[in-house]
Amino acid sequence: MSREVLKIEGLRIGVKSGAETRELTHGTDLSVRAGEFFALVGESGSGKTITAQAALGFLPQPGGTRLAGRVELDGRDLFSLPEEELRKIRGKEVGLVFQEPSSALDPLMRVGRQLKETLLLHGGSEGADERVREMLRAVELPERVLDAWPHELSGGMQQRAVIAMALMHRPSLLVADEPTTALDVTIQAQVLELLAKLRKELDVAVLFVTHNLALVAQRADRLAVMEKGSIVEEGSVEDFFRAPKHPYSRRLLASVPKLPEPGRISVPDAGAEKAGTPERRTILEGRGLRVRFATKFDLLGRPTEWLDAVDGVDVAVGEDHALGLVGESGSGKSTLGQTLLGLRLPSEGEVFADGALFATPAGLAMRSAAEERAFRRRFQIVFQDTASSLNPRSTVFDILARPMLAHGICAKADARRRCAELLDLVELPSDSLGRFPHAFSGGQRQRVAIARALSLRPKLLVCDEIVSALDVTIQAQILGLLKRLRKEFRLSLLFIAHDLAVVHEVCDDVAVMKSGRIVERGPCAEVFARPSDPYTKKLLAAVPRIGAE
Amino acid sequence: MAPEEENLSVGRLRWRRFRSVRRAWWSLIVLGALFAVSLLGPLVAGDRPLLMEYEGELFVPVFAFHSDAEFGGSRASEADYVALKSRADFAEGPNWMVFPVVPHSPYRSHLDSPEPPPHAPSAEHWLGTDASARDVLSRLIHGFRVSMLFALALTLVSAFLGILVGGAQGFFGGKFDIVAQRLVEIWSALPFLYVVILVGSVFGRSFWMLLLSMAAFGWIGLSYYMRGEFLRLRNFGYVKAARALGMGRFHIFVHEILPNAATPAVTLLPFTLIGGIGSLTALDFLGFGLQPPTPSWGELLSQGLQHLYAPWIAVSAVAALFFTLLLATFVGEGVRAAFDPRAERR
Repeated sequence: MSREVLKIEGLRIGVKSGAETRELTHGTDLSVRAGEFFALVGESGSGKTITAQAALGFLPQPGGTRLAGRVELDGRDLFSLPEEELRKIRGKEVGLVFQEPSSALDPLMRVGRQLKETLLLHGGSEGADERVREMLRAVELPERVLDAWPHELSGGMQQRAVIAMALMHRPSLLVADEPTTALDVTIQAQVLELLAKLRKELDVAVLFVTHNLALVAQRADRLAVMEKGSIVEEGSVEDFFRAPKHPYSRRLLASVPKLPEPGRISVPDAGAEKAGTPERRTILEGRGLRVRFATKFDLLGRPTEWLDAVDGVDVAVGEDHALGLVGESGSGKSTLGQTLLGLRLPSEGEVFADGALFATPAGLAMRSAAEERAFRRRFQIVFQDTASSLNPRSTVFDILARPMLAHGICAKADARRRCAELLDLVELPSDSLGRFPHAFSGGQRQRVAIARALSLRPKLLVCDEIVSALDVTIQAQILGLLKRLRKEFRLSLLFIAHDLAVVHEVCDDVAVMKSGRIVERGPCAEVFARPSDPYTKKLLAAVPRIGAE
Repeated sequence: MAPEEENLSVGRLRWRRFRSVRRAWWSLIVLGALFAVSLLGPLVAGDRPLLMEYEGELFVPVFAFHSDAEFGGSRASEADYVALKSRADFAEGPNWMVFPVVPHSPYRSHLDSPEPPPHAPSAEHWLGTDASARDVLSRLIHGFRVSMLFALALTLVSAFLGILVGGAQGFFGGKFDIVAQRLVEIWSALPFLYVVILVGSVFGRSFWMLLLSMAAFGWIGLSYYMRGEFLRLRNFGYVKAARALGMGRFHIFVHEILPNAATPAVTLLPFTLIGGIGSLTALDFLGFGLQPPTPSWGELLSQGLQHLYAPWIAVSAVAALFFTLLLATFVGEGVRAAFDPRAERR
């Protein structure tokens, strides 16, 4: 067995606020061996980041305190070292990569200078330029990046630069805290591949913190699963995926939406094919939609350059039909969703609702507010960010009752009962009515948002990345809820997501968007089994799969 | 967040946080109490008795008009109770009267002393008298009421206008916003002091005229904040959701955006109040404020400056102004702490 680079024993970290101390990790034990790819998996609030940061001698701020236990890096107890010594170790013997590369780079300093500064921080200037170039080659960035500003790089390139900085001093351990979570799936695959390559080349151990089990399955040697501040399972990746021992691990694994292997799916024959049947009545349709944003202006403020966020798209959602809209960030899928609901006017093209003209570039086609309301009622939307999608100043009752009262769906006296019914529908306790959004967790808030959308008994729900900010177990619950609602109310969905597996789980048909255009569409099973467009193929290949190795 | 706090509204949480800033909470209590006292006006400082008995009959002169003739005098004008009290026939009978704590009207000149005014503080006049022999303490109390009422009214009107204009700009955005913003900028470029002086000399100086002309400029600062907040919030999920739900514009403005945009407005209010008191004092000091003989701190200050040999005038006025502004600033500090978004994300 190889040497242990990092050894954490019985680590209990708490946060003091006032007189009381809240314990966040309850005696964590883990060890990372030299050159190993070790994954620390957990959902938000499980204490995985706190544990990982302790590997650099960091405690959560403010008020973080070590209650018990030790952290050994190459045999030295980090928390017994003076701050001065710790500072020398950080960056030199252990590197750190964060989730958000754009905030890890100084926006006012050229990339080359930042790389070099990292080097100078812990050593002489001799050969610094050469070493910077060497690392740049190692992370596969072109040399012109040296003279670029951080904002001129894409997210993936930024993360490469951050990795180069972290590895500049040839550390024995690299702590990577959700390094690919903010990146698109194709970029994520590249960065992961790079990390795996560097680990072999530079013989550095990687402590990879993530919520994404599928990523772990592909690359890690060993893993530890954290839940509520404790490590519930630790072992080799093969053993874990073959037979997870702890009930939480099993639940976690079961919650991950799975995408079948291309080629392994039996393509349904035309007779059994339910999706895309022509007799289905179209309820929301966009024809030739184009949405453009001005990106550059002349001296007089007149736009001179445009970006077509949606670039000539025809899309239709039928009755009792779930259409998935997938694409990477910036592909225009959210803009398209909002345009279809008339929240944003198209620059060209038209939106038809139930066969009647709804939105044109000149405005909404309705003549009166009442007419508009009647249209609105049938099409509702749920957003990704649960923190901003509910008015923080309104109680759940107000949030649910106001739309119903405005539409005259129920009488004032009846509102409380109707709201309780809605809560019941989304499986929230009825005593939630008097509470404010901040009293709920992210998943619960998303349920409130769904209840609000359902309050008007719509025909179609636009779901704009509604599960991508949620933990995987919560995500599974929300997806289960959506599927049930679909069946119960014959609800149509326009399901916008970047996660192909999630779309596969919920939708009948899928449309793949890239740079404002739909590059491929068809029934889910067919597209995922036999993608025809090269972009779809690339996207599918980049999706990390459990059991793919 | 502690579990018992979970179900409180944001407003209640903020109120709690405000009260936990002890200095602010106490300042609010003291300032509120002082204002309440000053609102009592002639019940606290005045030369009409709160209650009196004259020839077996009870009178409440502080609330009711009684002529000199009713008390055995000859004039039909209001009785002079101070003189009445010292009259021989009043003192001999079973008659009595109770004066307010400060038994001086802010308007009455006490010229019966052999010394020329202003008179130094004495048992009779606790803070002395001013150059017209009027009781300084009484004028301070009545001046405080005038200042506070003026500043509160100014704050309310400015806040309303600021929210309305700034909110509408941010809410509608686009061309309306751009045009309105240019107009606001032109308006704000007008020299406010000259306008106030001009309006005062054309239409006469009165409380309402002054309030109107100062409010006409007071809302601009706030409107910038409101515009920014509305522009930011109108792209929030819950505003978009409300639009998708077909809610009316008025509803979205008032119920969805305004409660969440109110933070800068509420945080600014105590400081607008301070500004109001300060501006009124300054205008009075310069002689462009309220019509004399309205009791006013600025007028007292300018007297103090003219009669530096009578330091009790200037010291009283400056001290009163200083403590009022200090208390209001502490309150403002507490409000700002209560609305601090960093505290909300704990």
